[in-house]
Amino acid sequence: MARERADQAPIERCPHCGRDLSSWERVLLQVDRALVCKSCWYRIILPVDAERDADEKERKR
Amino acid sequence: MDRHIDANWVEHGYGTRFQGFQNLMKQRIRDILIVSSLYDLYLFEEDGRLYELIRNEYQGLQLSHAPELTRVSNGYEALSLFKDDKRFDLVLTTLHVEDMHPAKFAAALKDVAPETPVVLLAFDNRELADLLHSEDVRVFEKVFIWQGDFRLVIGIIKYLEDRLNADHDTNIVGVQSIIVVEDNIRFYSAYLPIIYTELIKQSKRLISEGINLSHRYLRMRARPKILLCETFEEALDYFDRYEEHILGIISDIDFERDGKPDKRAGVEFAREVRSRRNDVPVLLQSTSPEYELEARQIGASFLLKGSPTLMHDLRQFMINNFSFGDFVFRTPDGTEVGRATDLREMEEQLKIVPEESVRFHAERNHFSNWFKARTEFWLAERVRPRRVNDYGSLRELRDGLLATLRDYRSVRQRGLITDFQKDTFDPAASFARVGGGSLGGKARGLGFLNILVNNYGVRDKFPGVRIAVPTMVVLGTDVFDQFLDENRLRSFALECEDDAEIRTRFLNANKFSEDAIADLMAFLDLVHEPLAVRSSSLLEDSQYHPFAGVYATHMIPNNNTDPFIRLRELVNAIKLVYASTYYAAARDYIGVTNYRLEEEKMAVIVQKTLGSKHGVRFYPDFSGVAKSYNFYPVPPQKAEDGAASVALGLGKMIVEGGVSKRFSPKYPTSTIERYSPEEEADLRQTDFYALDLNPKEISRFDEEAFLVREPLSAAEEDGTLGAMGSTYSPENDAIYDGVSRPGVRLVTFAPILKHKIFPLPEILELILGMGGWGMGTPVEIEFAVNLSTPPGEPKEFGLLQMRPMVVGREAETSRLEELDRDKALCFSRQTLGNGVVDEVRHLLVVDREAFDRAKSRAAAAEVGATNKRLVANKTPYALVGPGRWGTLDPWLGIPIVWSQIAGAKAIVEAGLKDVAVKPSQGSHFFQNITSFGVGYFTVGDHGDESFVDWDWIKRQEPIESGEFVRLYRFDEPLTIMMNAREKTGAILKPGE
Repeated sequence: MARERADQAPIERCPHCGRDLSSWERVLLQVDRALVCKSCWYRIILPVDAERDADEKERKR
Repeated sequence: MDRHIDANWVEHGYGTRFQGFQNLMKQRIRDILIVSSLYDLYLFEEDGRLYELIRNEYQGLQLSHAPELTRVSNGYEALSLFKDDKRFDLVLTTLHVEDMHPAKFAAALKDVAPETPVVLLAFDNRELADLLHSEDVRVFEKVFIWQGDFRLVIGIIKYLEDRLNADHDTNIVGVQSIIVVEDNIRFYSAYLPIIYTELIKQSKRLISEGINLSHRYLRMRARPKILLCETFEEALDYFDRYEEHILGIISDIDFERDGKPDKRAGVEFAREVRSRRNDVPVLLQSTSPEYELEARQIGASFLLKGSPTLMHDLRQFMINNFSFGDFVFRTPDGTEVGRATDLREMEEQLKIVPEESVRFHAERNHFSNWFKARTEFWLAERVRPRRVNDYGSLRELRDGLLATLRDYRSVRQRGLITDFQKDTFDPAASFARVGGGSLGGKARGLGFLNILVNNYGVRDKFPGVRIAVPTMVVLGTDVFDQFLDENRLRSFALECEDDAEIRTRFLNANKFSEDAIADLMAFLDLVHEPLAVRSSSLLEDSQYHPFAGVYATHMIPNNNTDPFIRLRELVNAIKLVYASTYYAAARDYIGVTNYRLEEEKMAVIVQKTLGSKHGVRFYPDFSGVAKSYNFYPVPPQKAEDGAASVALGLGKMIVEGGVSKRFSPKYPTSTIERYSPEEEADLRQTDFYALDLNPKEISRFDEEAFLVREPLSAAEEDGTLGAMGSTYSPENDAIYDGVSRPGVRLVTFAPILKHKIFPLPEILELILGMGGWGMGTPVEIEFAVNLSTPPGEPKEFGLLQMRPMVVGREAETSRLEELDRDKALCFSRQTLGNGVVDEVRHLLVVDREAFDRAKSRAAAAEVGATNKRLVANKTPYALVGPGRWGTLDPWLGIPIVWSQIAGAKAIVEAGLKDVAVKPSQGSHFFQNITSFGVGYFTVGDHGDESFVDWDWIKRQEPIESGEFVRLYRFDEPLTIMMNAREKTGAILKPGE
């Protein structure tokens, strides 16, 4: 399972195949932080808050 | 609210508020193996009742799933069970194991099942002291002393479960923990049952405040956890990990630090805790009173272990300091000035207690702690940092707290179906249930929509627009059952075939559930807007039989000054919805399904009508239907892009097939019109439905009783036409967007679709995507939009229904391209349905040449009568006729309702001689024909090869002839062939 560490900007396309995500897919991705692209089956995963906070703490040390 | 209340809790697919709670306490102790002598077990069992006692305790505390107990008397037998793959979550052993020392048994078990904890239960100190001196007790997870309280077993179970689940539950939901630092086995063996019992009682107290049953029981899982430890390092580690979620500390003073006994370890630990979090209550205990002063100086409480009331005092400390029980408002000098038992009382008290009391508690984080103890974690987080300095004044602090509470009480039930209670029902956004039983199909769909909209942040996704399911209550099917039984209507309704008689008997039935009446009165006290009273039967909106349009919907103005008249109108409307369960339309529909009428039950939705008042009219600016699958896509559209139909005013216009504006949400400006502006003007929406707010005496209470049909000029007068209107100029034979010019007004929706004054296509695309994802199938939705909201208020997009679409079935496809056209009596490139039907020998034709649009209703009646006879004889048939079947507008085709052609296996919609009519997309009618697998062929002037061989039909000899209708019978069957993928179909002549 590949993992894509995305920044905070909303993702509008599948980073793997470039397909435009539908408006509902973008909502799902924003809320669930994970989405499987129906075109190429690539799993888009965004960092959840806890991981972002952990990264923040790591950076601050 | 800048962050969704459930942001961390929503899981893929179904994010309810309490999905997070459902994930709590995932790791459970379900199977316990007791390894002990028979006598030891007898001591536990209290005359053989240990299992029963534990079960009673679990039930009394309303805990689920009391663990199963298995007993063996020797270590060999226990080890054999494990080797035979029997798995236990916990092993309890005493010091009297038949064949080996329990420490050796525990060590042997570690080899076989290293993950299974082994807990030693000793009976007294001397026996234990011997063990501690001679054996390494680290093989045991923990050692306890049995002191005669069987609740210790429960305490042990909960302690282990808490240790397993603390990390996960704290991260997911923010469940709190109490750190208990005690290395004396006798003391912690005594404390554990007391602490757990108190925690669980607290949780039980919260049950009465749940907003529905699930909420109530799931909150039990969010009770605070106990983290029991024995050393300074363990305690500090727990504190470091869960600092933000520590409810309190109960600590001994003398225990190990750095591997050595430290007489002041507890004091130092308390000091560390208070320096980092001065709002965390700490209780220090010692056998020596010399530490009391120092404890109080740190801000900790103190108990003397030798006190005869130690256990009582421990309990009191928890109640007073862990925010269990009532919130007691005090002034800084300790005077009690108010008390709150629940959130509602908290809100009331906050309004009236002295400001100094509000400040006193806010600055000590008492509000936040009290909310956390009640598992209201989100609220606790919101109020936590409230200091006076955060606000301009004490008054603003109080107002801020009140606003947060009010918002929370409203938001927490958003997206949920709550039990109707007047004091918690929010007239702006609630979905509540009255009475028991099922909610029915329509309400289920709306409930599901409600969850998705609220849990996925769709509600406020578009700036200036609020997307929501309008406020409603649902009368469950138990109310229907009670109504039928108390009025002795059940047998009568099942046997009577006269709709008028059914209607009269139901209206005159005078017994109605008193509880439901009381709730409806309370509802009407809160809601004064017009109401839609809608059916929600058990069978409605199911996957394959949507029952679309079968039952009644009544709209009532709800504006009479006399509340009893309002109640009477509402109850009458409900009774008529009940009555429609047994009307002919419902019977005919159910007759062609596998269901029985007596299985059907009716729940009723009472819903605020979306719209605005314009003088004596009430209506939404426009209503519509949208589907996520388009049966007639015009390139570049694809079927999966969906289609929408919208019309000015109430949605009755659309669902009954009246004139509407069709468009694709993905290509809203792609209106490939096949008509000239003049023809477009000819086929325009000329009037609209609204609710009449004029007070009037109703002579006949039916679906139309309070509706009016108004001309477009009324909409222009109200100012609602502008957002949807265009103007046709006959002089220039051109259509201009807007309504500022003189000319013929058209409802084109150009300002919305072209000039984007409202994001309708974007909203529909999102909602259809959401619905299709949620239901796992293409969906159809009904909606209404109110643009005429007061200034500063968002526009309203109301979701009124969502149901699954039936889009083709897996059936054999047929090769139609090679078909010899001479063999077909009908061929179409716009066909719905799939498969082959070859059992039809009858053909019912409305003669295109004889048909007169002015007499379309008479034609519909003839078709209906013939259908009735054919259905009674169980004779399927194919139906051919001109114009649009099932249209509301008799000038566009034949205005039948579904029940009048329910026996048809294929329907051919042939073009009218003199006018091109857009193919039916439908709604109710359309949904039903596809759900029943009825082939639908459209033949018209589309420039394709579609045709009906009228000449061949004319040459056949009918067995029946009416003014408009001919019925033919053939010895050989007609073959009906449909290919859904290619949207092509044909009806072959008999014998071909």
